[in-house]
Amino acid sequence: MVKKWLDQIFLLLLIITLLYLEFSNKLKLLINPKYFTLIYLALFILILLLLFSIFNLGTKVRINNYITNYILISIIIVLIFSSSYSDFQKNISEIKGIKIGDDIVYDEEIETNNEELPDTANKWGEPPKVYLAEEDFIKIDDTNFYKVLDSLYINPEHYTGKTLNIKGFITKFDGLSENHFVISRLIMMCCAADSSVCGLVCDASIFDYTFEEDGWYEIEGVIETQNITINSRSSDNPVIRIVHYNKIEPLTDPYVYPEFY
Amino acid sequence: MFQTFSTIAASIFLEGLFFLLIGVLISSIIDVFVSEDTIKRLIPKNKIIALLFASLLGIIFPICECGIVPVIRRLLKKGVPLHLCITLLLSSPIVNIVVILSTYFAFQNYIIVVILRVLGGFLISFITGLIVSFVFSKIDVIKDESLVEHQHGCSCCQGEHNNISTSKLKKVGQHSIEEFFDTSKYFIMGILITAFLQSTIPRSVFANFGASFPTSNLFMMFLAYVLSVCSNTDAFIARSFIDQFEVSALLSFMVFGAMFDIKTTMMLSKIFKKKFIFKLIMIVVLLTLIFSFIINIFLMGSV
Repeated sequence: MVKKWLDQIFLLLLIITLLYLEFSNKLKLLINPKYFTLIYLALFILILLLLFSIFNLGTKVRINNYITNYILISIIIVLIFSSSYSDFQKNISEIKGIKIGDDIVYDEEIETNNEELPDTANKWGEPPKVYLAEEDFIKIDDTNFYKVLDSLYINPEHYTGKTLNIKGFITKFDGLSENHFVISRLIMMCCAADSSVCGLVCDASIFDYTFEEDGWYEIEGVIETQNITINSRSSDNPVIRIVHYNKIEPLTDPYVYPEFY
Repeated sequence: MFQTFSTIAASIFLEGLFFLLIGVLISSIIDVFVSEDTIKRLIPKNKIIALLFASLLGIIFPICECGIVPVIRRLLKKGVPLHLCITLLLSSPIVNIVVILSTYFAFQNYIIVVILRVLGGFLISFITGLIVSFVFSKIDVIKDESLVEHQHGCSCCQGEHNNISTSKLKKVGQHSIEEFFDTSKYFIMGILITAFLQSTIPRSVFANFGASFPTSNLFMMFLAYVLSVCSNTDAFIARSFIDQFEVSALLSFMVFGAMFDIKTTMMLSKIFKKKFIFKLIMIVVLLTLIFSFIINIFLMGSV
C-alpha cells in the first residue's frame, strides 16, 4: 500500500513538472515546439495512470524495494527544475564548437589531417539551394535563419553585395583577426541535447569598438567574400562587413528551430 | 557545467517520455488482452517467414527504441522466441511509419537516404535475428528468470488475472504503472550517463576521425550511441552533418543509433545478461559496417 501511495505521489510530481514547464514557457528551452504534442500526450497518459492508481487503491500490491526508482525520478525532476539557459549557450560552443558553413571550429586549436574534404555537393547530387537571394536587403529572423545561412554558404556568389540584418550573440575562435568574430545562434533540431552553435563571420574593422564575447547584438552589413583561416585552412568565405550595430538584450527565445526546404 | 548537464538530461528525458509511456501501455495491453495461445498462433511456423514478419511488424507497430524494450520483455514472457524478439527490437525503431516519415522530412531532396535507411534497418535486424536463432538460447542470455519459464505472476497483481471482479482495464492501468516505474529506472540511468558525457567531453576529441570509411562510420555510430536521440527525430540530427560526412556514415548514425544507445542498453540490462548485450551490439556494429561498405561500393563508387 505504501508503494501505491508513493507511485501516486511521483506520478503527481511528474504531472506538476510538465505543467510547470508548459506554463513557465520553459518547455521551448528544452524541446523544439514541433514536438510539444508529444509532451501533451505524455501528460495525458500520466494523468490517466494517476487516475487508475487512485481508483484502484483497494487492490493488493507487491511491496518491493523501489527506492532506487523513486530516487532516480526525483533526480530527473530536480534536474528539470534546475535546468537553465544561462551558461548553456557558452558551454555548448565550448563543447561542440561553432559551425561555420561546412566547418566546425573548436575552442582549442586542433591538428587537422590535411586531406581534401570530400566534394559534398557532388557526393549528394545536391541541387543548388538559393533562398532570398533575389532581395537586396535580407532580414534574418528566427524563421529563416537556418535556411539563409545554409544557402549563403553553398552559394556565396548569389549574396555578394547584398545588405543583411541579423541578431545573435558573439563568439570568437583562434585564427580570426581581432576585428573578426562570429554572430551566432543556437540551433535546436529536436531537443536541447542536440543543439549547436551556428553563425556567420563578421568584419568590424571600421569600428573602434570591442564586441563583447557572448553579448547579444543586432548587426547590419554588406556581404562580401574574404579569405578566412578556419581549422588551419585558408579559404574564401562569406563575411558581413558591418556598417551598423546595436547592443541588444538577449532574445526571450534564444534558440532557432530550423525549417528545412 | 551543471547547467549544461541538467539541461541535456532534462531535454532527453522529455523527448523520450511519451515513447516510454506508449511502450509500457502497449506492453500492458499485450499482457492483459493477448494470450500466449494467440501469440503462438500468430507467429509463422517457418523461421525465415517468422523473421520477415518480425522485421516488418514495426510498420503497423510504430514504437521507437525506448518503447520497444518493455514490449519485447512482455513478449519474451509470453513465450515468443528470443530471435524474433531481437529482430523486433532492432527493426521497430527504423522500419516504422513515423520514423520513415521523419527521415523523409529531414532528407526531402534525397529519397535514396530514406530507402537505404529502411533497407538497412530491415536487413540488419533480419540477419541479426537469424544469427541469434543459431547461436544463442533464451535460457543462456536472459537475466530475469521469470521471462524464461513463464510463471504466471506479474509483479503487480499476483494471481488476480482470474479474478473476474477486477476489470481488464484496471489491470492494464496497474501493469502500466508498475512497468513505468520499473523501466524508467534504466531509462533515467542511461540519460544521466549520456548527459554527463555530452556535457564533459569536447567534440574536438573526435575531430580527427576523418571523413572516410570506416573511421567516419565508427565515429558516427559512437556519436549516435552517446547522443541517445530518439529514432523518431534522429534524421534531423543526421541532416545537420550532411556537409561533413559521406552518405554511408549518416546511415550508420541513423541505423545503428536507432537500434542501440546508452539508455536502451541500460534498459536492456534489466532483461538480458551483459555479455549477450555486448555480443549483440558487436554483431550490429559489424553488420552496419558491412552495409555501409556495400553502399560505398555500389552506390557511391568509392570506399
